[in-house]
Amino acid sequence: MKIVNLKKSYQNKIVLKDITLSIEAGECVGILGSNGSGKSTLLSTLAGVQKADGGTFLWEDTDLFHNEALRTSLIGYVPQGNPLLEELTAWDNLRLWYDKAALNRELDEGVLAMLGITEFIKVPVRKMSGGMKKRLSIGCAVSGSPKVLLMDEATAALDLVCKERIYNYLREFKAKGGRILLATHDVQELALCDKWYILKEGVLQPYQYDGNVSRLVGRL
Amino acid sequence: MAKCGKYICAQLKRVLKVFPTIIVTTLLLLLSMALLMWVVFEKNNSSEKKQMVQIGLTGDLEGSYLGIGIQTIQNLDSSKFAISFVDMTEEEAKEQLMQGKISAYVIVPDGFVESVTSGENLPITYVTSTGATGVGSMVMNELVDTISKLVVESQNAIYGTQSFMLENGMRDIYWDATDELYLRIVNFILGRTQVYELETLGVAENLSFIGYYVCGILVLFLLLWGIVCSPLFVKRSEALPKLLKARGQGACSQVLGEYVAYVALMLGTLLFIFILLAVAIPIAGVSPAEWEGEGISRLFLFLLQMIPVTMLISAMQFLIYEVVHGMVGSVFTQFLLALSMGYLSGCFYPISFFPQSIQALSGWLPSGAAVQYAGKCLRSVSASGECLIMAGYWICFLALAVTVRRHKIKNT
Repeated sequence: MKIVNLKKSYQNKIVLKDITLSIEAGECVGILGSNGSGKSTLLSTLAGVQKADGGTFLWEDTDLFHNEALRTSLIGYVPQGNPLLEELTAWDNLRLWYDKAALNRELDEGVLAMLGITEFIKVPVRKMSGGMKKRLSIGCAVSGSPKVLLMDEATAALDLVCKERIYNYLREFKAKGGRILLATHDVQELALCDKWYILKEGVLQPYQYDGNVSRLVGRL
Repeated sequence: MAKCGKYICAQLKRVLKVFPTIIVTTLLLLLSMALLMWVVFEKNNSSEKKQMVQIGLTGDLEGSYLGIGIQTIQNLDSSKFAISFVDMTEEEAKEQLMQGKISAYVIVPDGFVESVTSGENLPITYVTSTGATGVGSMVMNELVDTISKLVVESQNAIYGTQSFMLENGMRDIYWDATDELYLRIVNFILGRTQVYELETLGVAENLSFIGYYVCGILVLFLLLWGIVCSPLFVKRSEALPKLLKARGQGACSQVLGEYVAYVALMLGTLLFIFILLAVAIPIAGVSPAEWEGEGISRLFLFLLQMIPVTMLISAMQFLIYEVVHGMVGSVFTQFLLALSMGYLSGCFYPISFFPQSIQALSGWLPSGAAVQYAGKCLRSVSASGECLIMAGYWICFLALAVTVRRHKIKNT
């Protein structure tokens, strides 16, 4: 999977300048950057929420910017916030994204079971904790077995137990050959990644994360 | 299409979750409205007696002719429910007039009847107060003026006839002719049992009073119902539209799904209210004149005819919730808009009470067109003009809602 010369601007402000990167199968890439640096814009543009001003998003030889059907089947996008209907139960929310048979299968032994959603399947979203909501959000986003996961600060403000559950799922996803692009501020999430990039003033620069947070902060 | 269908189903489930709460709110509101109306009607009925114009009678009331006259006025069908005469002294009358207990009093001078028969014409004094500014008092003042003129002119005619007879040697028939003239005048005045004819015009294009308010209150109800449904809109996730878009479901499909569910909720609530009306109308025995002689099926036909109005107002409210953020802001906007549009569309006072310019503007407002459309449906006449205006607004509101949603998906 390759992103080549991706450009995006809002009115006169350039947010993404010729972004180029590639992600191999089973690889997790972390995008670091201060608030407002354009991490969310990069992910939402790749997910098809916003239109790119230029560049290509290649899957093998197909430009996913021009093939919506393929893009929606390949990509699972976890936006910031929870894409959930507060009045409905976890089951009702998942039914929006899954067929009944597929949902039962995933709850029994699939990704939803791994995320522990089965435990609160009948609970209305408004009564759920932050961790439950985030796990359910990921569960909704990964319907249709995507090959690429775009995660926008997916574990922000979650407790350690919940984070660990999500990390376990991400490790499993990687192990099965999935590709992950993470926008994050979280040091624990950085440890999951195989490659790191810093997004600053619209430019993507490679970075070698070695666990030294002070050095990282200095670069941001 | 299947995705859109799934989204509509999910939104309908949401609506079903809040429907019981909305029905309870509707019921409470209807009960308080019914109670208020009952209090108003009861107050009107009990104060009917107090609304009679009380006139004090003072002075020389001994003459039998005067007694007959007063008795006649008090027993005439056209005046016995409007005027009441009370005998009293002049001091009592003055005091009661100042206290507002009577509208006016009449001072009959000593020897009044004799003066009339001899042609001397002593004036009766009619005393009223500047504080008595009610419609009843104004009408009485006018009535006194008219009767004075009528009596004086009639007397002039009789005295002229008498002079004519004396000057032309008709002394032998003088008294008989005078008596006959007086009798004719009395017969002429008292014989006019139907002195006036009261005709009440419809408040708008011949729509009955109750009919007009059925339409007005219905539209106002729909306008205000946007506030009750606020939890559906203000608790929406900002991330969901993005995920839907990433899954190939754009702004148009999202707005359609949410709007269909919202219209279903509004129609469900409206159906509930019409069922209550179907039960209440036969018990209360009050219904618009337009439905007289027609069964309860007419009520439900009217409900079906209200679907376009519901769709229009729902679209307007949907747009407001799409544009304005936050609970307080959106509820406040809905409330202000409902009140101002309701007022300008004649939901509070009949639109015919307003100046021509406002009447013209009202017809072009979405709610104004809705009230007029409902009125025409009630009278079973064609409302194609109003339908066109409503359809135009409906398309505009939904198109704007889609544009705003598209903007939100890209920029939040």
